[in-house]
Amino acid sequence: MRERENHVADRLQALVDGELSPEEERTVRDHCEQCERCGSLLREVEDVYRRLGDLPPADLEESLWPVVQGRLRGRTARRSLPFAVGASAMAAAGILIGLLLGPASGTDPAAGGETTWAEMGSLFDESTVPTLDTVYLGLDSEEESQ
Amino acid sequence: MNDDEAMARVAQGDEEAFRLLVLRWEQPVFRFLERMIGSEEEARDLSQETFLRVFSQARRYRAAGRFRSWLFRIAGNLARSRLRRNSVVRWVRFDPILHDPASEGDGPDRRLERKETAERVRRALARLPHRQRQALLLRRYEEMSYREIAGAMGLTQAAVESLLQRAMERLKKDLAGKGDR
Repeated sequence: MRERENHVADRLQALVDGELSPEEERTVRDHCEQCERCGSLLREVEDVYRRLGDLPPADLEESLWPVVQGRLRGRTARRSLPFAVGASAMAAAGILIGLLLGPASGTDPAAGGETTWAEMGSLFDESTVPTLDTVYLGLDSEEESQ
Repeated sequence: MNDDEAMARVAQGDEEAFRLLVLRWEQPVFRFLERMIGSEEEARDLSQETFLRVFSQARRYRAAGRFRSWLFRIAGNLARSRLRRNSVVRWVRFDPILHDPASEGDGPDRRLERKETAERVRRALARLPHRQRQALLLRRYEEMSYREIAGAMGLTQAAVESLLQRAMERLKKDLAGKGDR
């Protein structure tokens, strides 16, 4: 009987979480109705879940979107800076050569402009962003044993 | 537009699709991170970082109807990383009762009682190991299935169940008063 009780006790969490098949759920619930020990354990689990409901959620008072959008554009601007400096230097060199060699051709190689949203995505390429595995999934080896 | 469709557009640089995802998921992500970290300010910061990473990794996302797991995996890993760095969790600045519309009609005694109860739960959650806390928050408050939690934590479903069982054992003791400070 003890072995059977332990087995049912091990399924109480899954029962409360709705993870059992209908047949398993019926078996475990039937057992809990007859077994004082397992019935008591089930009520304890349900009680803890109920108590967790006493913690009200924190809600965002303002959307994150304006800040997220700003940070993305900030990243883009920072990443674009070396290119802009390089382009300006090339333009200055071009103008100097043009002045030395003759009349200007009428083109402006330094013409810039805002980076489009579609171009932002290309800035986060594989060379600038580590892979999911290294960034997000590499944490487990450092985790405390839990 | 569902999440997978939105992500396909984000991968192409569609700002509107990304805005839609942020607006759709910012509250659940913030709520999870606030309970995980215990600081509203840090939760807001990590929520922003989570969405920035969603954007930067959009082209790697493989549509399979698992966006929520993928999103909370990023958020959870950022939270655990921050918790390891902080080492000391700050759990007292946010007063949930002041933000809870359900408490508006309560008298002073009832408000105090609700505040103490919430604080007790908060402290009990704070004492859980990070991974137990993460699994429990995803199950109890975000109502994820074991399969979704497994996806969000890179674990098997059996491991998720085991984490939840251990978390509940600790909480039973803490919320019953044993070991509460």
